[in-house]
Amino acid sequence: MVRRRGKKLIKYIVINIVVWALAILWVLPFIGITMVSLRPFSEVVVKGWWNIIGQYTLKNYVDAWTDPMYSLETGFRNSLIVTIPSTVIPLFIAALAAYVFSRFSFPLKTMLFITLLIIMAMPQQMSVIPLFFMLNKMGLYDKLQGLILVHSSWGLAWITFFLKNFFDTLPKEIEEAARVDGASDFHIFFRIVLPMSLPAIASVAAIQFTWVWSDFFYALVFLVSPQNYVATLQVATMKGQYHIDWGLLSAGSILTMSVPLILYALLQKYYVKGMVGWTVKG
Amino acid sequence: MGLLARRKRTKIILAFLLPELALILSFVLIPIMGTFVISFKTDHGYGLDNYYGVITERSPDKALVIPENIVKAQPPPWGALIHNIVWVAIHVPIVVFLGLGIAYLLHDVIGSSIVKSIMFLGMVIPMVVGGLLIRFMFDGDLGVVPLLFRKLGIEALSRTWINYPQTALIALILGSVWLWTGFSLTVYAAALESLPKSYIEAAKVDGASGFQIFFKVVFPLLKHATIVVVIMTMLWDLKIFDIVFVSTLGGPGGATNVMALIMYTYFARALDYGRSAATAVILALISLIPGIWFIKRVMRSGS
Amino acid sequence: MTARVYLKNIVKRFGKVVAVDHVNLEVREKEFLVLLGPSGCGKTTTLRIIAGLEFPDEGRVYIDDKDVTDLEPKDRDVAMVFQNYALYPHLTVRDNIAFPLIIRRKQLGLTREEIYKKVLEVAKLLRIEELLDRKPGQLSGGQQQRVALARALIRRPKVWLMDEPLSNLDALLRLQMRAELKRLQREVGITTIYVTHDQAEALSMADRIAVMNKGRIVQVGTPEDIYLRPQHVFVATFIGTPPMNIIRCITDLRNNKLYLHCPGIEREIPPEVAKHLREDMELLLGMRPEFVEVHKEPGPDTIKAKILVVEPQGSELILNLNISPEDREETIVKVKTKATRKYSPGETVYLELDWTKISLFDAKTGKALA
Repeated sequence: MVRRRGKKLIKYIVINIVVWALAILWVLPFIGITMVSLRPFSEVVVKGWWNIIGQYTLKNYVDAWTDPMYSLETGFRNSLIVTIPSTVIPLFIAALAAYVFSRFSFPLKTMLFITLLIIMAMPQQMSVIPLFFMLNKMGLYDKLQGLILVHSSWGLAWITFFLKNFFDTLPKEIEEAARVDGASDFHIFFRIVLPMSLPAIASVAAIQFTWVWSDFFYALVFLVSPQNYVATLQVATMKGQYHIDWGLLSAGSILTMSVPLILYALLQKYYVKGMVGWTVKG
Repeated sequence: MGLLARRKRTKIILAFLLPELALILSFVLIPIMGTFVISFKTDHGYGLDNYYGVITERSPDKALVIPENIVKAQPPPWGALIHNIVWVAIHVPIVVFLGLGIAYLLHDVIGSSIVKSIMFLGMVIPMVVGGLLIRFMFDGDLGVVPLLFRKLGIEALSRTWINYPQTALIALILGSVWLWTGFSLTVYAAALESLPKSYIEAAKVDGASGFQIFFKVVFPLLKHATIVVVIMTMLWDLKIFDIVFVSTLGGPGGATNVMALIMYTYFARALDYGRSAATAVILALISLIPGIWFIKRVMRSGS
Repeated sequence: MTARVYLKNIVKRFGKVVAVDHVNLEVREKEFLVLLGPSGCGKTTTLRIIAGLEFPDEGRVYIDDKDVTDLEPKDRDVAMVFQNYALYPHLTVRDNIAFPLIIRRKQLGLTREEIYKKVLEVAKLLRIEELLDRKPGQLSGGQQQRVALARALIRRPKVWLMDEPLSNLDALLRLQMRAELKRLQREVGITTIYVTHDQAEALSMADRIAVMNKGRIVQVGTPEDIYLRPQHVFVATFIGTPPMNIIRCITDLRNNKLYLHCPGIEREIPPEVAKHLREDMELLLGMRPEFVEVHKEPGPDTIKAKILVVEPQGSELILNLNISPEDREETIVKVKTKATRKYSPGETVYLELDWTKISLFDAKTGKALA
């Protein structure tokens, strides 16, 4: 009995050490760039960033934020201008469509639904060349509005899929009760279904926001002028081709990822549910 | 159904569906079709020239399968398509077993929710930043990995990994493990949570050992989660772009080139839209392998 | 006599399945009508057709002589209570109850204060006034049930529709709510159509019961009718605990008189019944377990039976008996009797049937013989 318990205890300790070692390994790069961003580069290179004694400065952050060519201030503003509508618009439109997919049957429904699934599997690369010409013609190339349009349209498929799955889990009786009570379809959707769906909407909003904020490819293709660059483009440009200013780059990286990270800290539950949920039915 | 009610229902369906259909048609479906069309366009009408060109291209920055400086049994470049396949072949199994293993062990770990949150960070940060962090991790001066090998006395692995064709690709793949394991862990953790304890208890009563319970009971019961992880990881690997772009731009000497990057190179550098579209189509068709698998599963569980 | 709700030849198909098969039903003013039947018999679909949540493929629905077949639920002036109560989780109890009025606020010309005053009245009637500020998630099953009733009540609709409203409650609460619901319906006087698969619920609450099976209405009648005079062998076996004993018999012509010939039973058939019958017909004899007396000694008109199993049920006993004269064959009959004396398996007893309460069914059609 005692031996059994001893063996169990050893196993327990080993598991804890192994898993926590991995967790520390995982978080190490974050600690690393934080240190590099806060210390003069010369010191970091000579002594290593893990050496915590030395000078600390916010200079890198100030530089990254105010760089005359690639200022992250502009990048942040542009990112927010793109990200907020690109979250709200598709969320609203897809919620309407998802409700129809979940509750009504209509001709071509299965075909349309499969189309959405195919779009979800399509790489972004499959769309950019014609979109490049289309946006050019519409005068939206190198414009934030163009990027909003593209993000909104490409977000629709997965949001529709996700919300349809969620609506499927809502008991139909509640809507039927509302119908018998005298509510119209619009009323049922906006006053009953949407309020009941707030957790799912929070998940979708958090993830779509993160994805749009984090997008690099569309921004790279559809934006050319540095004053229109979004944050991810700015950071990538800071890197430079031959010389790497790790201090500036670290500060820029931390700033750029801070927005989704803060959102994650606030909405962690919804993130996890969303990331798991959009891939799994139900 | 009554005629009136039916007419009203049709109106609702149309009103709710139209905005979505309009946007998807204009900015998703038509561009996808357009890419197909452009990929077949040649100087003299339509044909397969672009596909032929893309596949037989040998210059290291655009080669798909046969880069000119390829030497048998030598380090990369092997061609972008091969790099993508190697990526999937290494990344998928590691992510599956690491994610599942940690999720399974987490039950006995103190502060397991903190571990989960840390691992999930890779899912939250922009991939561009992820790429920069990978570069940082493998940097000869600052990175943890080269430092570790220096301490172990292995000189070949104590330099900046992404500067050498022998180590660049594997550095990026390991970096993508770091970014993506959180997804696998989260899916498995959720699946394990919803797994009725009675299965494991029954196996214990039946006399199964810890390993037997894991491989004979738990792993088969998590089949659905595993399929989800495999499909999503494959799709993610095939589309990989940002982290390569910011860390190596496909270099050195094409050693880390991937499909999506070649598509971009044709598009933005060579201004060869036909070949760029052809590359995109090839990438899309390959993505449809896990894609169709995914669609089939969704449709089956839906009916 | 005015029919509040009238279903005329209703047919509803789901794909190839006929869920409701030519149903005709009249529900009277202020009546409490129960649709009773096993799951899948079409009772819920019938209710949903009355509500307007489903539309029939054939037939018409009338409420107060008005054809409402093509009307949306909101235009029918009905209220419905769902099995899972279907309370709006994001609204307080007060707003849940007020919902049907708030929706129609402009039509009705009511202010919010007036509506809330009505909510309070209804809440008092159902004794939930102290729950008004809570959300449905904070309520017990019984409380949710009352809120759902209040919501259905506030509008004073023409018809109340209830779809197994008590089935999610635990046993004791279910008994209480049965009585309360019945009292409420009496008090308010709203025509009610109530769906259940629980025969005890139906027998204790209904003014009339419509028994459904396989999409058809098998019998409509008062609980007494349904219990004592089943029109179909299905009704006989669906109702009662334990249900009616059914024994397979044959008619036999002897001396110009028709005899009923069953295992262990021989009896002349009364002439008024016999005139509908022929020789060598297969009949089913039905007897309720409670209309049989058990004797120790044989009497003039008794049936010999051997006790197989004794099931104690509190103050009563259920005896499983074999009435077949041959030991090898088994014709099992259940009999309910007071537990005033001891019975043991293997014992031989003598049964006396109350022949006035016997039912006879045609074995082919299952229909009762007059």
